[in-house]
Amino acid sequence: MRWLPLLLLLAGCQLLPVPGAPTPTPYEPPVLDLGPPTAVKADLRLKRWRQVSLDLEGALELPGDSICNELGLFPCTTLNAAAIGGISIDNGLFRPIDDTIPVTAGPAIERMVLYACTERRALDEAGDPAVFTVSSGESLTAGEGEAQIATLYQRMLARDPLPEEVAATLGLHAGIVADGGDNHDWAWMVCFALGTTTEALLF
Amino acid sequence: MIRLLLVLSLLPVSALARSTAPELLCAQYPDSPLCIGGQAACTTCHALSGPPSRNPFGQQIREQLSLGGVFEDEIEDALRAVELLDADGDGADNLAEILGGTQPGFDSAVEPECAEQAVFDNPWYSVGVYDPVFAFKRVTLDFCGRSPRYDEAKEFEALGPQGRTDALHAQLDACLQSPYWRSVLTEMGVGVVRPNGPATDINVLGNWAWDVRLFRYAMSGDRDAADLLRAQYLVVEEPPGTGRLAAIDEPRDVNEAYAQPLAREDRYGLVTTRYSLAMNVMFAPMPRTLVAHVYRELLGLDIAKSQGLFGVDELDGEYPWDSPRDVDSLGVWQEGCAACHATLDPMAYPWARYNGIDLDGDTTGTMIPDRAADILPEVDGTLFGEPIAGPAEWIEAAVASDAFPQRIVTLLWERVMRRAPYSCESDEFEALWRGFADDRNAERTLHRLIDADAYGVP
Repeated sequence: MRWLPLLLLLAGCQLLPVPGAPTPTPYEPPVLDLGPPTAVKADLRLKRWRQVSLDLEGALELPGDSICNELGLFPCTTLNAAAIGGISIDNGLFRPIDDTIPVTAGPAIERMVLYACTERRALDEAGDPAVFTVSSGESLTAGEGEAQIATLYQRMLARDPLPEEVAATLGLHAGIVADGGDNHDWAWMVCFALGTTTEALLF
Repeated sequence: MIRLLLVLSLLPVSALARSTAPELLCAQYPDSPLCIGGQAACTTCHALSGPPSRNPFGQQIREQLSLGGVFEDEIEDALRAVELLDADGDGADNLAEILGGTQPGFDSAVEPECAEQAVFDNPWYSVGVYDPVFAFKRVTLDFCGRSPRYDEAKEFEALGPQGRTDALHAQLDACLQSPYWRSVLTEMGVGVVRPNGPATDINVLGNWAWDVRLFRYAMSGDRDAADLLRAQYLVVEEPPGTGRLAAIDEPRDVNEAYAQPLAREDRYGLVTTRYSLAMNVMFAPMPRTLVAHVYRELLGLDIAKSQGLFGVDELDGEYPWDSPRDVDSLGVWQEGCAACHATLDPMAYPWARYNGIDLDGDTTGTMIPDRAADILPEVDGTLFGEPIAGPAEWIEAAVASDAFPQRIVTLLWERVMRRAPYSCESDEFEALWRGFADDRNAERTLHRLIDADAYGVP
C-alpha cells in the first residue's frame, strides 16, 4: 500500500506533496527526436486480453493462471475479457468490441501487468531469480542497474533500451529509495511501467 | 406554401428505400470503391440509421426524381445531375467522392490513413513502405497471440530480404497451429453461429459446439472453406480436450446421434445442424430466419439492411412491385413487405422440408419429406434472383457467388485488421477475395493478406 503513490505517479497520476516527506528526484522524460509528427496512418491496435496475458506469461516466465486473480477466485483475463477485446457468449457479445475501447480496459490491463510483475517478484525473491536479478539492498551500481533495465526491456519490449531510456529509468531509483524502497521495489515498478507503455500494449 | 405542402404530403409518394438503388448506383459507377461487393451500402444515400431517412446526397437525388415517376427509369439522370454538387459540403463534389470511395452524403473526406504517407526518421520501423520487421511483429501477435521474443526479433532482423519473407511465412504457418489461433477461430465461429443455451449434446435445441467446430475445421488446414455450406461430415474433437479436430461421416454413439439427427445426404454444413435448424426454423413453416441468417453470416448480405435484394415477382405483375406468393398468408405481398420478401421468400422455399422444433415428436432439427407440403408442394425457389431447384442447388449457387468469398475474406480481414478496408485498400481487398474464390482456402488467404501493404506498411 505504501507504494501506491509511486505506482500512481508512474501511471501518470499526480499527487499532492506530503509535508515533511523527502522530495523524490524529479523525473525528466527523455526527448526523442522523431522528426515532425506528420505520419497519418497510425493504424495501431490495442492488444486483446489473451495477447496481453500471453506476452506477460512469456516475458516473465509465468504460468497463465498466475497472471491475475480477482479476489483470488476469478482470472482477470477472463473476468475482464470483454473489456479487452474478448467475447461473452452468456451476454450475447458474439464479436469483440473493437470500435471503442471500454473505460474499464485501462484498469483491467494495469491490474494484469501489476499482478504479473508482483508474481514474478515473489518467485524471484523466493528462489533463483529469473527476471529481478538486482540485489536486494538499497544501493545500486550503474552496471547492476543497467543490466536489470536491459533485462526488463528485452523481456517486456523485445528490444534493448536506448541510452536516454536507461538514464531515465535509473533516475527513478533515487526517488524510490528516498521514499523507503529498495532495489527490488524499483525493479518491480520498472516492470509495471514498461508493461503499461503504449509500446507494450499497441501494435 | 402551407397548402402546397399539404397537397404534396397527400400524394402517394413512397418513403421506402429502393431495393434496386444500390445495384443501379454501382451499374453507373462500377469502379467506385463503394461498390466492392457489387452493391453500394444503403448509407450511400440514406442516413446512418438506415432507410427511409436520406442523407444530404440522397436528398439531392430525391429532388431530381419526379413525383410518381419510375425510380429505375430516372435514377441515372438524377445521379448525373448531382455529380458536380457537394452534398455534404466537405469541399469534394459528389462524383469525386463516389469515385474516390468516400461517402458523398457525409462529411468524411478521404480517410487520413489513405493520404500520402509522410516518411520520417522513425528509429523502429520503415514508415510508409512495407516493413518486414513490422509485419513480423504483427504476424506473431495476430496469429500466435504474443509478441516476438527478444532473440526471435534479433534473429529476424539479421536476415536478408528473401530470408525475411521466408521467415515471415514460416512464422505464420507455425502460428496457425497455435492454441491462440485456435481460440481466434473459435471466437470467429461464435460470431457466425451466435450461440444460445448450453453446449451439450443432450440439449434438445442443439449443441452449438458442433457448429463452431465445423467453422474451425473448414477455416483451417488445407481444407475447402466451402464446407461451411457444403459439409456432409460432422466435426468432433479427437481426442477430447486436445482441441484437435477430426471429421466423421456418422455419429459414433447415441449422444452424437441425438445431437446431429440428420442423415448424411441431408446435411449442408452450418445450415442444417441441429442447433441451426432448432434456433432458426423453430415453428415456422417457412424457414425465413434460417436463410436470412445464412445470407447474413456466410454471404455477408443482411436483408434487414436492404442488402442482397434480388426481388422476384411471383405474382406476374399483379401489383406494381415485385411480390412473393405469400404462401403462408402473412400479407407479405404488400409493398412495404415485398421489398424484402420478394427476395427472402423464394430463397427460403428450398429449405421448407427441414423442421425446426417438433413439439409433438419432442425433437428438433430433423428432415420431414412432406413438411409444409400443403403450402409448398415443390421446393423450387430462387437465390440471387436465379431459379434454384432445391437445397443442393442453393448451396452450390451460394458457393459460386462473389458474395461468399467476399464474406469469408471480410471475416478474416476484419478479425485481423479490426476494421473494414480503407478506400485506398480496395484493390488489395478485391485481390484477396478473388484469390480466395479460386482456392477457397482460409490459410492461403492469410498468407496473401500478410504480404499486402495494408498489413505490413506502418
